[in-house]
Amino acid sequence: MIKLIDITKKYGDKTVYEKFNLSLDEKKVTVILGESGAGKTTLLNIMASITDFSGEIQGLPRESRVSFVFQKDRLVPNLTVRENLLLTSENADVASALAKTGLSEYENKYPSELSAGMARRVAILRAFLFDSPVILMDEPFINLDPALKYSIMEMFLDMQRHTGRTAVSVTHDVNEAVYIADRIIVISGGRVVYDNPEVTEADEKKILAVLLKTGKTS
Amino acid sequence: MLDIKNKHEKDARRRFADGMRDKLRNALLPIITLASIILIWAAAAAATDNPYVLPSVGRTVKEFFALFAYGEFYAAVGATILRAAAAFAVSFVVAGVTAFAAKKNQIFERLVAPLVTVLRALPTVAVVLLLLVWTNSEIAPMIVTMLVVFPTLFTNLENALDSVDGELLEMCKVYGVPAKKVLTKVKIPAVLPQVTRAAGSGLSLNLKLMVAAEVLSQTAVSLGYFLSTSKAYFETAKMIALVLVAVILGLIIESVFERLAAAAEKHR
Repeated sequence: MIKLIDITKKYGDKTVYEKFNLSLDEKKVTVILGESGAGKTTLLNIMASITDFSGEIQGLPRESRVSFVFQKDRLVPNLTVRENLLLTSENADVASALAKTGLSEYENKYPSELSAGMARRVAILRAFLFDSPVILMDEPFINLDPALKYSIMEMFLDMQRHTGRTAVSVTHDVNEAVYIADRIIVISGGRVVYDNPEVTEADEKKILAVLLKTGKTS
Repeated sequence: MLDIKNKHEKDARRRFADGMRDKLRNALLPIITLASIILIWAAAAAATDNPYVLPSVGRTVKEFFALFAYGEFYAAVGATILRAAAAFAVSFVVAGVTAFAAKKNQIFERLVAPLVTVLRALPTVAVVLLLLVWTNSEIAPMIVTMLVVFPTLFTNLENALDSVDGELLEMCKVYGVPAKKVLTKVKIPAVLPQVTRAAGSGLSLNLKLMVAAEVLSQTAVSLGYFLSTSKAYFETAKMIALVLVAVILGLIIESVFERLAAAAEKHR
C-alpha cells in the first residue's frame, strides 16, 4: 500500500493540498480525475519527488524510483528507440521488450521518425522497463485519435496485467478512466470527493455527475 | 478510380516540377549576384582604365593564381590561420566557461554583463595601436581578436546552453539517469549544433579581424603583411587577390562548420 500522509503543497499563496491523505492499492490501476487546476499533476509530481512538499509518503522510495509517463513523450531526439530505452534502463532486455510489444522494427528509429502513436508506445514501454514499484502517468493518452488511443490503452493494460505494477494515472477523460481503472478517485479543492475502488462501465454516468458538480468536465 | 490515379500522378508531377524550380532558383540566384558584381567591376575597371586604381578582373584572377607559386604566401597564410585559430581557441574556451558560469549563477552573470558590453563596443583599430605599445606585432593581433570575438562567442554559447530541453532533464531526473549520461547523451548533443555554428562564425570573424590587425601591426610572416607590402608597391591586383584569399578561407571555415552543425542536428 502506498500512503500519502498529511501532504501539504502550496504555490506561493495558493494552497493546492492541505493535510491531504490518500492510500493507493498496490498492483492496481488508480485513475485520478478532477477539473483543471485541481492538482492532479501536482499529486504525481509530489509522488515523483519533482516538486517540494511537506508530509510523508510511505511505501515509495523518496528518490528516483518511479516510472513516469509524461503528457509529452519526452524521448531524447538524438537517440534511437533502443538507446532511449537503455538510457533509463541500462540492463534491460530491450530487444525482447520491443518484440513483445510489436515495436521491433522501430528499434533503430529516431523519435522524429516515429508517429505520435509509436512514440507514445515507446514512452509507455520505457516506464514499464524501468525497475520501479509504481508507474505514474500524466494524461498518457491525450491527443491521440480514438482508435489509436484504445489500442495503446490495451497495450498498457496488457503490460500492467503481466507485470502487476501499481499505476496511478491522471486524466480529464471519464471514458478513458473507466476503461483502464480498477479504482477511480475524483479530486476537487484539494480533497477526495469521490472514491470508487471497483469501477465498472455502469459507473461512468455517476462519475460524470460528480465531475459536473465539482466544476468543469472534458 | 482512374481519375484518382490521374490526380495523384498530376500532383506528383507538380511537386517534382516545383522542387526542381526551387532547386534551380536556389542555384541560379547566387550565380546572378556574383556575375553582377563581376560585370560592375569589369565596367568600372574599363571606365577608370588605370590598373593601379582598379585592375581588370582578368589581371586580378592572374594575380590570384600567381600567389600560389610563392612559398612565402603559403607560410603567410599558414601563420595567419594558426594565429587566428590559437586566438579563437583561447576566446572560445574562456567564453564557454564564462557562459556556463553565467547560466549557473545570476550574480556572476550580472558581473560579466558590463564587461561583455564594453568588449562589444571596443574600437578594434584603437586597441591594436594600444596593444602595440604594450606588446609586440606578434601578440597584439592575437589579443585584439580574442577580445573582439569574445562577446559574440559568449552570447552565442549562452544561447546554445538555453537549447537544452528542461523537460528532458526532468525526465532524466525522475528516471535517475546518472549525471555523466545526462551530460553525454542529452546536454552535449542538445548544444552541439549551436556551439558548432557559433564556432564557425567566430573563427571566420576571427580570421578577418586577424588580417586587419596584422596590417596595422605589420606582423612579419602574415597575410596582413603581404597586403601591406602590396599596398606599398601599388600592387592593387595583388591586394584584391589577397582579399579574395581571406574571403575564400572564411567561406570554407563557415561551410565546414555549417556541415558539421547540420550533421549534429540531423535527428533533432
